[in-house]
Amino acid sequence: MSLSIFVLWSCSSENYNASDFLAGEEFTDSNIRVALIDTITVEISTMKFDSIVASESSRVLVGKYNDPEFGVVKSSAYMGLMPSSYVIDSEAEYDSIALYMKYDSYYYNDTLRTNTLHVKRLSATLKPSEGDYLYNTSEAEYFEDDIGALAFMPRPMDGDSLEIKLSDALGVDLFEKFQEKEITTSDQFKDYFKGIALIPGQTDNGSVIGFTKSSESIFVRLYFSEAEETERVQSYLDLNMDVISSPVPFFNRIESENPNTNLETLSDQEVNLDSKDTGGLSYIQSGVGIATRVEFPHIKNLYDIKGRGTILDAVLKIRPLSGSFTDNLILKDSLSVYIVDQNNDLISQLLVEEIAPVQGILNRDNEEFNDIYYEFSLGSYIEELFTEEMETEEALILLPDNYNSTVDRFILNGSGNTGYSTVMELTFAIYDEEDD
Amino acid sequence: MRFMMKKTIKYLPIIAICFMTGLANAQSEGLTSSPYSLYGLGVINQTSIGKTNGMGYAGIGLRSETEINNLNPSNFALIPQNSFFYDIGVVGELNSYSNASYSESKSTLNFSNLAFAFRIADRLGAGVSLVPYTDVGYTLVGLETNIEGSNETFNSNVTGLGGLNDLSINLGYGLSEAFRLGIKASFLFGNIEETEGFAISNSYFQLDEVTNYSGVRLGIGAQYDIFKDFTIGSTVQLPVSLKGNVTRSVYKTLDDVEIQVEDEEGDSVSDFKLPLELGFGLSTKLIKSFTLSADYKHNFWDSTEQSENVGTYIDQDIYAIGLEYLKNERGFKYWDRVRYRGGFNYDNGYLAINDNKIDGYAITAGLGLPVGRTSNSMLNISYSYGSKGQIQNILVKENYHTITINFSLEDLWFRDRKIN
Repeated sequence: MSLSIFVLWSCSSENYNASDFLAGEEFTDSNIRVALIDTITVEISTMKFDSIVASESSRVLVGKYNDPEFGVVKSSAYMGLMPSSYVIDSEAEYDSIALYMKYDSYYYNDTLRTNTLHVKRLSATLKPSEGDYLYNTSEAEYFEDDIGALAFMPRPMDGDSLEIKLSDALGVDLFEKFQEKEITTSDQFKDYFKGIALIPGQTDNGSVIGFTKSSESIFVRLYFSEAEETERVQSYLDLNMDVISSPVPFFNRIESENPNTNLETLSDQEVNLDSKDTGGLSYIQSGVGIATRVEFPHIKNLYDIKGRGTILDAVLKIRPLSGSFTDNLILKDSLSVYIVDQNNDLISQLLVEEIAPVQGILNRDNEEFNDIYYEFSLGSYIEELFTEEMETEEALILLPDNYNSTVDRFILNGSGNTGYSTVMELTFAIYDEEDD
Repeated sequence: MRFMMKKTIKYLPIIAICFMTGLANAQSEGLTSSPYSLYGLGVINQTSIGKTNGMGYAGIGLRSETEINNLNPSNFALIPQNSFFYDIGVVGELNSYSNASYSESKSTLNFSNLAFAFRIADRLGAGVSLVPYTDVGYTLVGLETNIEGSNETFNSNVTGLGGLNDLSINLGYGLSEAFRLGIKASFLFGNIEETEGFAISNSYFQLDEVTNYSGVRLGIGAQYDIFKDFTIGSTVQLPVSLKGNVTRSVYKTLDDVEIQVEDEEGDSVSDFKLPLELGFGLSTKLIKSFTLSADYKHNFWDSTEQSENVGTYIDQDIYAIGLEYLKNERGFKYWDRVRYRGGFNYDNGYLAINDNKIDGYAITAGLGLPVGRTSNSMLNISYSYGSKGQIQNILVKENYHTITINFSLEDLWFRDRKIN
């Protein structure tokens, strides 16, 4: 009887973990040492991709501006068109023709200056010279004469469309081809009209503007009238941007001419321009393919710390060069991280657990004290470098995440700029001091 | 009642095994919630078996023929012919601990012991006991530690659970009617589990260490009856190094991903040394109804040359005194046969933090309630109020109420058969 009571009692156990008792730091010490290490070597350099895939760009980019460091930055867009219909009534009469383009809210540099946009007719079908893609460096052929032009003040945030009147000669020609049923299929149309080029003005120094890349947002509208019983009624036929054909007949040609002497040395993709040789600076220019390259060559030196430890956090802080950004040459709020091999060929984006992209977020908390930096949480990557047996030949590069659709540029303090240099703040926990 | 006892006894071996395992399991639940159990192997268990719990834990010189006295192995020589003693106990504790700014209370309930003893031959007795040797059970939150290389700190929470068991085999032999010698072999074994965790910026870190200690400690004891009602006793516990093995698991989150850094990896840990312990005790009858028992123990921690990260181990003195009142063992009234006990124990501590020894005292009271008339079976209940540490500076003051209930039972072998 009494024994069974014991058995019952044995079941009652307290929850020992529920306590709020602060014993005081002198009562005992932590068994774990935690150190913040900011002496990890970070090697920063600049590289430039020979080309980047431009046919997958998410927007149409047109514009030109002069950058004090990156030179004359220019983007032109090339695209094929596709009719929405091939039928125009035989009694219809031609009216006019115009190109419509919808702003997608992206811009870079000063939108208070006038941009010029020249519309040209392509003389050759857009297709990759090899492979499936058109690159930012691809060439397109077009007739010299404008089929339309417009000088305008960009209003990228309005969500409006730009209207550019095109030449009536072209309009009439197209109208008749449809009306007389000379063009009744897409192949016939593409053969006759290869597409358009959107070229910024030669002397423009304004902004690079983004337009929505879709068949509904970019189109050429052919206006005509049809006779009804009592009056004539306006009608139209659209030639939409061709986003259906494969490979897509579209790319933005993004180039920058006459950059500073540092950037001029980037003649080949395998050139790594060490920031120690460029006054401590490194560069990023999306669209053109200039990226900042980051390496941690001595990460395994962490093993020199006595005891057994593990990485709890690794934050890379990179400061943009003070004065290198302005209200026009704006600093974007984030940067993405990609992995390249020893030849600087892009391998993949840097992801945590193969899902979450690693981002560098611009910390402006102390901007008033000129203390502004991008913060990257590289813990998982650094741990991989630390624990992998082989020394890696791969490196990280920093680029905006939509680097094939923007012309954002960054000038960063790499290594060697005392006080502003890139720093890696590594939090390291040592949990067994005796172990080697 | 008698019938029931017999029935229970029949199943005793099975029950005993269940309890042995139960006790070992119960240990890992943690018998204490004392912050001081953080140090060393935990809080060294004071409670013993039977009547001494009510008598200030004094009993080295206590001549006990009617129940197990586990404090001196030589006393096992006194087990009467045909007697089989066993003792099963539980202990409940309510701890209140406080420092300058916080206070908290905790209660625990657990097995305290299992023991049995029997006579082998004339003046030769043996006993086996399983008692907790140390108890670990603490939770400390908000330990602030500097992050090296920065001005910042991290706050960790530390919890500990477990303790060591003491499985002892005792042998007592009477060289003469008045002089007895005893030897004792203690198998000390058990696990102490410590967990420390903290969060820094976006990361969480947790270290789980299960340390297993084991070792065999030898002890000897002697008792000498100078007069009929005056006994002196002495015990010697030899020093021993308990071998430690640690199994470590490390978890962390990195970039919000949970990672197991180490999974139950074994590692060595330095041995824990237990010191030479000398004990002296005496007992005497005062007037007719009072029995006085007094002990002094000295534990030579200095020579173990051990230290904690916050303190060092230094020699320890324990003084214990107890008194038992029994009106009439053969009284007709039940209450005349009840034993009333009181005692006091002072322990000046074996650990000094910043030169402050953590001393403690306990005031005990107890009752021995006879069970049945024909045997020496007894229900022993004790209550003790104790205090440890001090609030000054950094130390934690701890007050605790302990209640022990021991079924100290005697079964008379062979004697019953004659009646049947």
